[in-house]
Amino acid sequence: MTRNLEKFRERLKNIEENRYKKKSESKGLGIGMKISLDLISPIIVGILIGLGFDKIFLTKPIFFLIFLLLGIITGFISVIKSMKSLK
Amino acid sequence: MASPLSQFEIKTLIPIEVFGYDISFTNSSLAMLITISSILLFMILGLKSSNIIPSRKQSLLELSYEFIANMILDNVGKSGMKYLSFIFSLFMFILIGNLLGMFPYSFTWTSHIIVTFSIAFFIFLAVTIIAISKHGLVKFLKFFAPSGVPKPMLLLLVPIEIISYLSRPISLSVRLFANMMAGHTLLKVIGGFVFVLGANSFIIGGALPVAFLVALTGLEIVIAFLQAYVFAILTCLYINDAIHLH
Repeated sequence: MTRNLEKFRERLKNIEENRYKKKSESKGLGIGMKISLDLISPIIVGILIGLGFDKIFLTKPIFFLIFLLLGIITGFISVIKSMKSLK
Repeated sequence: MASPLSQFEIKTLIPIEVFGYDISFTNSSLAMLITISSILLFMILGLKSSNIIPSRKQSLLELSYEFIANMILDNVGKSGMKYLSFIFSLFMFILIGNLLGMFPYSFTWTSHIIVTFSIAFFIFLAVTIIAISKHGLVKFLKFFAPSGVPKPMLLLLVPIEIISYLSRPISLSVRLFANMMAGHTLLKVIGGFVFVLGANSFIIGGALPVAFLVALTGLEIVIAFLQAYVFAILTCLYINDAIHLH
């Protein structure tokens, strides 16, 4: 009788502790879309920022190339971070 | 013969012009109106009875409320519950918008990048304003320069962090837009194949694309739910970042 009560108390404690913990749902198609999109969108943002700076400072390819490179690096870093938090 | 992309054309139903700006009532606006009316109807019917043992409509509404409330509690915590009405409206609007696009002859307003980008940009602005107003401008800017990083690395790391932060609205909007547009275009293209392959005999050539269409429609309905869920959960995560990790 006391063993059942202890088991019950343990289960209750587990449920109460995990109640407000952060959960992240991931299904196969969803992860694929998310990671591929997290790779492209920093590149797009880098290109946009680079073109914007080029318009302001009138230096045609320099800022575009710098921010393109930064965007690609950011894309890869964000993909590595997402894969770390999943696995 | 219509192209598979002609389903995304905006047709003006009631032309309205104010000070040179074109704010006509289009088929996209009509689709959004139908979405909101369906959600309102669903909620009004569900709120009519308030028994302890709920009726079917009441149970549906309570399930949706519980789902969103648990999502916010799991991802933001108790301090995020003040954003419940916003997240609920956002999730239901995108979900019903996606689902209503599955009916024949209807219009999927979520398949336009300008619409999804407006929603995502608004969320991005709101989250940034929440973060700045809660923690102050200095602490917000310090978020882009994590502690314990040597000075030369900082020159590389800060633009990377800024680009990563700015890429959030782009990825949020493009995800929803690309999924919806690709799904519906694929449906129309495979539908066109029914006529091309079934020109001689429907049973031999045309039945295969129809079977494919049945499976694809099921997949599109799943994607409608999934994309609305991903949009809402990412918004919750960004609100969590704004409230806590700064």
